[in-house]
Amino acid sequence: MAGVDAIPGTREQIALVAQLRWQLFSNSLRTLKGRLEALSTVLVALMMTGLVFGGGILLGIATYFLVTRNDWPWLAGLLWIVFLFWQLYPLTAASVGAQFDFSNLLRFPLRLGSFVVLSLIYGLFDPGAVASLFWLSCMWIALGIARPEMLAWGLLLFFVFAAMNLLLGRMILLWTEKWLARRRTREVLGFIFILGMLSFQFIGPVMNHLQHHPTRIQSSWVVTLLPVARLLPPGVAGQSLTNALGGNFVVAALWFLFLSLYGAAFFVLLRTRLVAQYRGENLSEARAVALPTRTLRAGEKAVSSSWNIPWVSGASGTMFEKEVRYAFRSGPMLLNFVVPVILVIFLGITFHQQGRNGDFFAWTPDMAFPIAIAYTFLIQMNMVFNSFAFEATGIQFLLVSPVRFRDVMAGKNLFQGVAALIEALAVWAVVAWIFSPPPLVIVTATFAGLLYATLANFAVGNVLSVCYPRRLDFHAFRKKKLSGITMLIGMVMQGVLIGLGAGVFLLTKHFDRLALATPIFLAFAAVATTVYWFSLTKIDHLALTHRETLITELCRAE
Amino acid sequence: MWDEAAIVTEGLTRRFGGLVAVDQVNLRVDGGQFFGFLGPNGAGKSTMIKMLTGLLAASAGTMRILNIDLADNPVEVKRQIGVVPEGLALFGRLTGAEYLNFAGRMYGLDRQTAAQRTRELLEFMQLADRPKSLITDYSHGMQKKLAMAAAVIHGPKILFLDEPFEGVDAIAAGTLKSMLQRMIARGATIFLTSHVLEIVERLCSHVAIISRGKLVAQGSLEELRAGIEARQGIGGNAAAGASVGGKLTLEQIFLDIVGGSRQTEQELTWLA
Repeated sequence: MAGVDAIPGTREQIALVAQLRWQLFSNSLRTLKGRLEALSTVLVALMMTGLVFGGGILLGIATYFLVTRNDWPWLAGLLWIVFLFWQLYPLTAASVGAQFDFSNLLRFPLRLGSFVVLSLIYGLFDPGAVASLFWLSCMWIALGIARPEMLAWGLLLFFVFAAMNLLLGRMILLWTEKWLARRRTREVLGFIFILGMLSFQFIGPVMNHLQHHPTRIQSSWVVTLLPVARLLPPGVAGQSLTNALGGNFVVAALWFLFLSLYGAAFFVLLRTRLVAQYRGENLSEARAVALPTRTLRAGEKAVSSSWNIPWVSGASGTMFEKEVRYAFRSGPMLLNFVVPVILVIFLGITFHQQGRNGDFFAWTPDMAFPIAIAYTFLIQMNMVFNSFAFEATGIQFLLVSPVRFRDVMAGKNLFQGVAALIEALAVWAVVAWIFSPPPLVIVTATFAGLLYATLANFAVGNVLSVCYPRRLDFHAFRKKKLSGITMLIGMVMQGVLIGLGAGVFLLTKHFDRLALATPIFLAFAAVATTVYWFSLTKIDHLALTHRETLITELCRAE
Repeated sequence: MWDEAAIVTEGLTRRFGGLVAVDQVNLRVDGGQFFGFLGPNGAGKSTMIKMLTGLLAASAGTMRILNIDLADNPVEVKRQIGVVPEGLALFGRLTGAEYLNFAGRMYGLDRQTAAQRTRELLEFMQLADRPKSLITDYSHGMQKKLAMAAAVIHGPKILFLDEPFEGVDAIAAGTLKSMLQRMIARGATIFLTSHVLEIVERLCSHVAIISRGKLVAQGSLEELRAGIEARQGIGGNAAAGASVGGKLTLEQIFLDIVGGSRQTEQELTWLA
């Protein structure tokens, strides 16, 4: 080939990719929106940095005390924290800003080795990985302060532990992407994943239970699981560290070898996926031809009339029906409504046990209901700030159809409001079951508070949904994007609303005037209704001026 | 067919920063015409159709659809038109029947009429055998047919189609063409953009050509042909390819009007 001397080396290719990423970033700053996004990303990152630093300091202090007090076996527990955060963060957290699918680089003459290295570097810059590396560094420094002679061993061990985590994280991500390439698999795995996440909520009640029933530990299944946990990577790393601290370097080296074998196994599995990608694997879904036709059951209609919803305009009612159908067919939407109630059950059990021992809920058990509602509200209202997340190209239909956008938003809000109400009733039932039925004065005040907070969220959420929409897809966890501006405004908004709510409850309780909470919240709700109504009247104009943003953001190919 | 103009634009302009994507376009499409809107890539076709359907704001100029100003009364205009935009505007998590029902209701049909038309359209488009499949599981051709069905469920007077035959097999294309011809026969106006000049030549009675944002030609095929032949004569620059039966093909007309640089052997000599 004329002019082509040789394929650039790995280092040169990495430099080219770094330059490409920088150009993508600097180009994104050309628009005001891009600059605002970058600014809000920095602000969110600063908040997160505080948490990461705090976590690092805590882990460092814990390491120091465990080492100096010879409680070495507990070090594995700290490594478990780092391990779980590193692996779970990418699956649970929404990343902000422009994303870059490095597999697009495969159109260029990239060596397999370079592709593998790029994949690992890509994983290394994940916020979860950066935080975990910082925490490991804090632990290593604390280890060195407590036992200076362990610095070299600690460095080697933590380096291999980090490498193993990096390989595992990338491996999980790439295999998950393969499995989630099909919609049906995606939905099944999505539910399994959420159930897995929920199972972590058991940890609190189980630990609490064991704390109060130490004699049962011997027969507990936890005891059965502990040896298994020792054989998993954080346990193995912990064993190596414990033995090294005890001077058993041969045993420590064997555990270290075991950990390295884990890393090697993950590398082999990761490489298998990367090789498949490198060879041009196409994960796009096999379309209709591969899917069986679902025949109708006896008496089932192929086409039934749409719903007749009284007192609701045709367009709003139609949107409401569509939202309900979508919710039952879209994992994230459904889970967004189901998960908070399940979490309330777990947390309720935990706090109820603590309450028996003189904690917050022993002092004021009647506050369990408003707190549980506030908790579910925080999770559920996420969707309100990005109401068009799952519309994709369907947004174009809403824009070309002869309906006022306020009717579209009203239909969506109606669905979100009904969902919030059903969820609140479910939470009431949960609280009544775990604690006791909350007093009527608390129930009315909580529902009045919920009304005001929901309407306020709708007012702001509708505007944000139109101005800063982001497309969400369930299968692409890592590509899940939220507007940084929406995140920032959402955090501030929820802080203010919950703060106001808590203030009203605490003050009225302090002055023994809880009955006043309901009228106060209803007054807030009246203001929120006015603001909501005003925002609805402006939403048509807003949608008109932001239609290009809506189409660009929601119709983009994933 | 009716005499009034279906679509009229005056000085229609759209700028993206410094780029003028559509520049002072004065277009007239009469009622009942099957109108092809052509242009090379990046010429401004999609921008134009997006503006005409209310998906994009104009930077300057006016648009009147069925004598209604689009800027003043967008909802009334949208009631009269059907649109199959780029990207198809589908809701993937609905079934075909649910989507058509939804579309019918959003266009203001009552529940019974929406359900009845949904049944008829699913049958016509040969989509009735998958009543419970989600749209996301449809093939591309099925999705195109469904998008078309949703665009016509309310019986629009004007139908806008952005590249309706792109990525569609011959069978699906046949179904789509059959529907379009029925609409034309019953007096509707169809405005479509397409890169497939053979299809445009076969279907459309009138065309307009846009190049670098400017409208460079407009009229019936015969008018465009006569204009070029009068200017150059057959065998001139336009007749770079073979003409059919002594008549210039649409492709020849298009190339003559849009032009395009002639590459020389001296360029890109390093190519294999």
